[in-house]
Amino acid sequence: MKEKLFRTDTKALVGAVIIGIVFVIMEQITGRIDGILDPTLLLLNGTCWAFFTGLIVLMYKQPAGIIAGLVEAIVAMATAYSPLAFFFLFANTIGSIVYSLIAVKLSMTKLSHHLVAMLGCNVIGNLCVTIGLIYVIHLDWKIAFLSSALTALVGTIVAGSLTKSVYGSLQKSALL
Amino acid sequence: MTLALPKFDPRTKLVWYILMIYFALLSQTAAQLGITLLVCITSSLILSGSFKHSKAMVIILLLLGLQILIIQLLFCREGTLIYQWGIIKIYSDSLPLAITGILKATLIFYASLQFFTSASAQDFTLMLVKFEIPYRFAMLVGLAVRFLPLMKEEYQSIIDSQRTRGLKMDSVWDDLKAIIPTFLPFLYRAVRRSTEIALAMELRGYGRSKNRTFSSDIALKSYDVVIIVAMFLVISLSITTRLLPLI
Repeated sequence: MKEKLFRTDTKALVGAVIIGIVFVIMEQITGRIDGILDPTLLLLNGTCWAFFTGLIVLMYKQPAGIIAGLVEAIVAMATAYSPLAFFFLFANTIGSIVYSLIAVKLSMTKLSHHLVAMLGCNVIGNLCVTIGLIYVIHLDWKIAFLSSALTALVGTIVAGSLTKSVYGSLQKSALL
Repeated sequence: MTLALPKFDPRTKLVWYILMIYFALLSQTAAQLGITLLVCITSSLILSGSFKHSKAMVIILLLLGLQILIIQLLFCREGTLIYQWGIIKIYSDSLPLAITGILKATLIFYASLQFFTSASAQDFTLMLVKFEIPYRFAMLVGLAVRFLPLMKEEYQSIIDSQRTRGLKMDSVWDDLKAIIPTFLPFLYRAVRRSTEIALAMELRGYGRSKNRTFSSDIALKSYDVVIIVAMFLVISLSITTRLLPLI
C-alpha cells in the first residue's frame, strides 16, 4: 500500500512542480472563461481543478499531489485570481489526499473507480471552498452549499471521465 | 518585484503573514478590516518607501471587488427588499456585506502578495530547510519560480502553432473550444520536459546525499525574535479575549 500511495523519486517531485505550473495556467484560463460565462458557479474552473488534482495523484502519487496543489494555491494567492484563493490551500491539499486514499483501494482501471475517487475529492475540496464562500464572501450557507454541490457534481462526472481518458493516453505514450 | 519587509528574516515575514490572515478571517466589521488593511499597507509603505508596487494591484482588485459585488447583489437575502426586477431581488444588506467581503479578500490578497514577493526563492528554500524540510523538497520553490514564465511561454507557443493550423480563438466560445486542442499538447510536452529536467538534475547529483550546503544562509536577528514574540503575543491575546466569554 505504501508503494501505491507514495513516490518520492526526483521525477515525481519535478513532475509535481511542472504539472503544478500547468495546473496554474489552465486554472487561470478556465477562470477567465468562467468569469464571463458563469461567474458564480465556476463549473469549468471546478472541473479543471478536479481533473488536475486526480491526474497528478495518478501520475506521481503523494507528496506530488500536495506539492502541485500548493503551487497552484500559492500562485492563485499571489495573483489574486480568486477571492477564495486562500482556501485553495486546504481544498487542494485535502482533496488530493482524499483522492489518493480512495485511489489506493481501487485498481483505477474502470470508469466507476475514477468517478468514485473524483466524488470524494470533489466533495471534500468543494467543502473547503464553501467555507470560503461563507466566511469571505458572506454568502448565505444554503446558496454556498448549492453552488458547491453543483460544481462538485459536474466536476465528478466530467473530470472523472477526462482523467480516465487522459491518464490512459499518458500510460500508452510511455511518458510516465 | 520586492514589495516590502526586505530586511527581515523570512520566518518573521511568515509570522506577520499569519497574523494578517488571522485578522482577515476573524474580523467581522468593515472598520476592523479597514484598520488591519491600513496597517498592512502602512508596513509596506514604511519598509519599501513607495506605493509604486501597489499600483498594479488596483485593476486586479477592482475586478475582484466587482465579482464579489455581483455575487452579493444576486444572492444576498438579508435585510429588506429594495429593488426587484423579475427573479432578481436586491436586498439592503447586500452592499455592506459586499464591502466587508471586498475588504477581507483585499487584505488576504495584499498580505499574500506582500509575503510571497518579499523574499527571493532562495530565501524561501532556506526557510523551509530551517523548518527541517528535506532539501529535495525545499529546493522545489526555486524550480517553480524559474519554470512559471517558461511554461507560460511554452503554452503561448502551442496556441500560436494551433492558430497557424487554423484554430479560431476570436471569442469566448472559441476559447472554450480551443482548450482541448491546446491543453493536451501542453500537458504532454510538460510531462516530457519534467522527465528531462529530473534526469538532468539527478545526473548533477540532486538527492545523492542527505544534506547539502547553500551559498547563503539565514539567521534570526534579535529584532526578528522580538517581533515574532510580539506577534505571537497579539495572537494569543486575541484568542484569549475571544475564548474567555465562552468559559
